[in-house]
Amino acid sequence: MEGCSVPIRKTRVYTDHLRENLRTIVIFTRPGQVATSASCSFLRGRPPLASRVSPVASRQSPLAAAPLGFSATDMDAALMGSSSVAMGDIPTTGEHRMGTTIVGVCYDGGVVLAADSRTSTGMYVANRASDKITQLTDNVYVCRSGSAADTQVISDYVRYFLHQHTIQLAQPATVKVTANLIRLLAYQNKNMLQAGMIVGGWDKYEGGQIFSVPLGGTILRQPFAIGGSGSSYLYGLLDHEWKEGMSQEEAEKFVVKVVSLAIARDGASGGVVRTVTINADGVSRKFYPGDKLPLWHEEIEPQNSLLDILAAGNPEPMVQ
Amino acid sequence: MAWQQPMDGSHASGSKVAAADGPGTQRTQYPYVTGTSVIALKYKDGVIMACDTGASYGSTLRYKSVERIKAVGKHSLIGASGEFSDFQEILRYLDELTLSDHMWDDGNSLGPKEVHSYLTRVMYNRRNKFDPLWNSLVLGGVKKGPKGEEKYLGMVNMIGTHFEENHIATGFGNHLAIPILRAEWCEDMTFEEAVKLVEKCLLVLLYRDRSSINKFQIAKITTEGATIYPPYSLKTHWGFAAFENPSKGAVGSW
Repeated sequence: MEGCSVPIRKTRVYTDHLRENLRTIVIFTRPGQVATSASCSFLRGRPPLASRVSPVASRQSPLAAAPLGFSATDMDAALMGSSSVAMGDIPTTGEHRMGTTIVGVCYDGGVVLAADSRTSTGMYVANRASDKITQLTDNVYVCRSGSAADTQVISDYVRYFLHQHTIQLAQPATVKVTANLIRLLAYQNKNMLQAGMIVGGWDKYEGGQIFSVPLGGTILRQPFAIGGSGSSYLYGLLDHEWKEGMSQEEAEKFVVKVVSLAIARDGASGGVVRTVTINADGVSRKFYPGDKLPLWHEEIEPQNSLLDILAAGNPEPMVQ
Repeated sequence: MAWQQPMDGSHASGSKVAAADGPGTQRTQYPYVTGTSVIALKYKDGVIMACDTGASYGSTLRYKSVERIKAVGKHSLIGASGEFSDFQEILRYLDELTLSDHMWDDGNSLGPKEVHSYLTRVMYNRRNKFDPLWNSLVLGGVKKGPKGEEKYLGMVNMIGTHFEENHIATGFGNHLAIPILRAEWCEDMTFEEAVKLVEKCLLVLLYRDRSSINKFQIAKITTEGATIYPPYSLKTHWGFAAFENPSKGAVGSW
């Protein structure tokens, strides 16, 4: 559409195809997985796939419509990475996933965690403003990617353990202990979980620290970490532009740039950029709405309407 | 690394989700973050072990500063390829083992043979439960035995296969490094000769193994203890006429 002056919304193009699906969504949306009392099921072993098709509301989706004509194989197809559209299936199947971009960087004095805000079920964006940076203690937060339910439940368990640990220790938990609790759950349940997490925080012993806990339950301390599907687009960028010892302002600007570049190319990432800065003085959350993010290649200034452009008298409309 | 599909029929083909627990189902795993080859050989003063410092995530070279060789107790080195989280867990088991060994306070300490035997039991028993630790481990060390200082080098892999040898390699190293080691290893090499031989193997692996990176760690274990040298990179050679002009004299560009 080179040279066309029709305004295109900044982050994605809506087509009729999608609008059709929106109609379908109301009838067929499957709520995501359990995040309440049955959450302990993953520690004891999840029930076999077939019995998970039950209309229980998850934290992310308020809809509780019972699925019609679902079979276990549809869900498997969705779990495999939502090729369901190609297979002619309804593109709203599957558990809530956070195809995501998550980033954590250390700077001189603390850490900055950043994430996009898109949660999808298949091809449908179930939540366009989710908060993927979750508090575990006063001084340690975790960025979540992978299955929404799995990471929520892991966060809940770790928050619960850390609460008791903090009481017993009579001082704030360290980032290392927090990261290792995440690792414990991720490793011991590796067959059943799909959770990639970045733990970041500040404690008085080691200052700002970032720990990466990818699939499988490896734990690695790093000066910066990236994760989620959008991170594929960031390896080169960070190899090129990462530097040690940035200031807080530099680091915050940097992560916003990095996440917004990933959003530009990764279909599974989008929405707003949220950042959480943790240092000796405490925690501060920032919010960068999608329409305030910088524009990248082939993206153009958003407009209210074509009519405004025409009223401004320029440019000429395309004529045969 | 195509492992057999779980048999409970709950997965479409090609699914990456491992089986859930339950009656009649198998448990297996898929490796996510993996290290590539480890090579080791016996030399005059003890055992030398080397690997690169990379951990891959599928085909992405995701982590580039990972230590895959660690000291165990006073007498051994362990190197691992395969799933990195399982290696971290094995290190925890070994910590427990060496701690209780130390707490006996009887003047004895676990030597490489004992550690290797322990690891073999762990790996084989996990394999029997269809829940393997997805690693190939290399265990090397020196300890005083009945015949004086005895060097030991062995390996054990995820299915419990284990053996002792004068030179060991895991992963791609089996195919690329072992032939070199078989041709050029000899008894009582000096440290310099051993390092040169190891570097020759590491370079070949760098050229020919897709998951290797140019950042290596060499470690040695002698009667004085374990030394793990800081990471370093090797120079690579591309200045061959045939490389610069591969289609010289050929029709088409191949």
